[in-house]
Amino acid sequence: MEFEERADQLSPEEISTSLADGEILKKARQKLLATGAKLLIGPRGTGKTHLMRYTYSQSLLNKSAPLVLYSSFNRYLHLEPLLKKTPDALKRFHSWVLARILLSAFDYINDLSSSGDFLKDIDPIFDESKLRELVSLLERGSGVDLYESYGQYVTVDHAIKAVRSLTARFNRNRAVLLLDDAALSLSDQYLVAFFEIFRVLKVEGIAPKASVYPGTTQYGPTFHASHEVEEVPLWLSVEDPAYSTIMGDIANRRLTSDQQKVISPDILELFKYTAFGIPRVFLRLLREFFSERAGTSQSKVNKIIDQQVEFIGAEYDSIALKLKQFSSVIQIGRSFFSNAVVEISELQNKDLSKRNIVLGILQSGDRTPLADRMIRFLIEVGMLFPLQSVSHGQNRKYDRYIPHLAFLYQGGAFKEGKRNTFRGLPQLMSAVAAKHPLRREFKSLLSYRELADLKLDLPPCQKCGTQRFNDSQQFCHNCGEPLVGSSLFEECMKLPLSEVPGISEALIWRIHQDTKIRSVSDVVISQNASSELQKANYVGPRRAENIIKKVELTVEEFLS
Amino acid sequence: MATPFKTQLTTCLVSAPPRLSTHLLFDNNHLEPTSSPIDQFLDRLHSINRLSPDPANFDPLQGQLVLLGVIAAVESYLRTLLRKIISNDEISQDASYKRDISFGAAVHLHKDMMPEAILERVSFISKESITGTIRECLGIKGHSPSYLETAIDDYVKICHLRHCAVHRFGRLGASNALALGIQDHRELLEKPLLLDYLSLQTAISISTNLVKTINNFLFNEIISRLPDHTWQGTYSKDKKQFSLYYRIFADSVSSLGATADCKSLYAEFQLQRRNYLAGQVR
Repeated sequence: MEFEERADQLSPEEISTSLADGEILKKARQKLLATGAKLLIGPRGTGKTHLMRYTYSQSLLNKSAPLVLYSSFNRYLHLEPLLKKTPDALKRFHSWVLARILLSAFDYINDLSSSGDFLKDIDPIFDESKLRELVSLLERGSGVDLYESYGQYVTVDHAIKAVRSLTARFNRNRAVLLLDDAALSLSDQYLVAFFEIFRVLKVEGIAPKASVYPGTTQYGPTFHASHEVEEVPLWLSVEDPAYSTIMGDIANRRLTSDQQKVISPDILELFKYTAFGIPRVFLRLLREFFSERAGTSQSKVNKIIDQQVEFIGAEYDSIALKLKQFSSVIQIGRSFFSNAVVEISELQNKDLSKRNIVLGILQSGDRTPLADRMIRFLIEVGMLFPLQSVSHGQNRKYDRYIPHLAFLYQGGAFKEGKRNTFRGLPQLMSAVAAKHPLRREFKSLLSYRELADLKLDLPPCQKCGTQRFNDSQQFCHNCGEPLVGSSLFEECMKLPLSEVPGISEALIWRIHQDTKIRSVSDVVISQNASSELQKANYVGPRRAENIIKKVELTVEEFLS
Repeated sequence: MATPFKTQLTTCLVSAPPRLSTHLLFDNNHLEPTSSPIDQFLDRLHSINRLSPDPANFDPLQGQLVLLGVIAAVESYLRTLLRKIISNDEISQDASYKRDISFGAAVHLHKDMMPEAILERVSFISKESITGTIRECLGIKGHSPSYLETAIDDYVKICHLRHCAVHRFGRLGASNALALGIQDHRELLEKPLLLDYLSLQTAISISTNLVKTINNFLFNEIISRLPDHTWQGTYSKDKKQFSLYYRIFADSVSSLGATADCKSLYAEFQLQRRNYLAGQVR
């Protein structure tokens, strides 16, 4: 069986029926519809997109709800090469963001099978086909002419005007803008530019809501998250009293009744907790369970959890490939996390009558911004769940985190005797919590060597090979040459086809033999990749489409 | 009538100054370099960047002086570039004939250097002076593209910092505050400029960006407007004409992103031209 774990791939019907209930989700849904700017916060896979798309389709037909528009900014990195190539990259990004918001107005009209002509009568800038062309050209790194003649004149006022006209036209009191995938976590410059727009979109009758990752606290000099917007957490804590119920609801909505009979309640319970509050991981665990050979043995379940641990770890490690300057930070973060898991597992396993899964890190002046960034990466991918910090006396404030339960499970935290059992973890989650977390200083979780290595990995000057001072340096102090950074997008485009998962070696060999296609970029940029691919033996339209899809998926994964 | 009363008090002790013979200060043996203006700029940029104070031990005053050096290099680039274009490009010559030069320059300057005199009274520190001079001297018409506008807007801000540094020892003057946006700068009037490492690097970057942007823009403008009969269509026949412009604009200094060699750039040029003539959109 297959079920889709990515909300952006679900049909509107599936979106409507598959959203779980539960206090945290109800509250988040209310906040999305409420007035005022909000940030919807959760790591990848917590259901931000699902919730937004659900909110959108529910309010589409409900006349008493506000007008809700949905737009996604997950393709922002396609504009990243501009930052290296053109002085007005930020302006083009600006008009890309606004064009996407304006298009969400047209999407709304189209979804209601209405006509958008009235918008064009208000202002000729509201031109759906031009906007679509502009967006698609900008994402392909071109469109200079259209931007010059049209795109640059699209302003925030236009967006506001369009939203207001739509609100009036469809008899709604006010409007909500759902801005999905706004974490823009791989490009600080665009992040700042985005939240400048976000801030001015907040006017009477319009409430912008953006989905972001946890851990980010800086949204640029003009935007202060803490007092300008309300933060809406979506990441369900494993310590939430309703945790098991909410996760169970997700399973009920996605599993067939046959499947629900096959899986034992104990295993389901174990999966709920090892998913660590992230529905996408939960669904992945379930999918693995049902696609593996029959059987409910402990070793099969352990294998599935091991796989997920590896998968999450690989996702974390991949940040180092994307943000090369942070590769040491990522590597040391991994070892920091492993040490924490070992220590907590040991402590927890000594006494299984109390729950003892919280790590407390002493707040101290010697923690560098880079150390904070290191912890943020772990939070962003969902390996550390942040809790409120607590005070244990003067100058003894502790930041508290729960490490991912699947890692603790694998680390033996919940073993009864020498073996992991289905029930160990769920039972412990209903036990009382220990009074104090495992208290550590930041530096005690790392070796002396690792602490010293916690630095940015900046490429040396491309001309004379001198090391850089820091990441803000733009000219070599030895030879004076402008220092050139690498573009993440271009790195991705350079990937050879052999790096794309799911294409057999034999197929790649034939493509090499018969076509000019070598790298990811050849597929993505080509006007007609399909017909070029079909020049290879045994590649017809279906197989060509299949290859293109796989390449696109790789690009999306790489750039998200 | 008695001489009016005038005091003879001393506030500072002044000794006799040593003599400075300015005519010996300039290098008479200097030959005008044949490298392109952008290459000259980049070479100077390298020398100036090496003087930049390091972040661990940053001296804001030294930073300010480095910034002045960069702006001097930008200005010199613009002058050299405009002179070379006017000396070599017919349409630009036609456009600039109406400009005045001083009598002294007319009598004493070598013909090749004459266009510099046109720019004698121009200082490239405002948007109007930069775009205006380029348009008038080179006969460029039509809207400036937005990437050029952005680059100039950013650079003009740096020029206001320069003005504070040169004329007021770094203090923010009222007219500069107005130009930079009085809203954000009202509180800062007469406060000293405190460059830090990051802002100096950024300022140099913006200046370099302006130079590279203008270099691209003017090359495309000027090469595109040449009449059709200029080109025969093969490199061997067009080489003389094309390389004339190539030499004015080519960047051979950058370690990454330097201009392609003359033949390759010509091939690209012909390709774009053929596509255009065939009615395709670029």
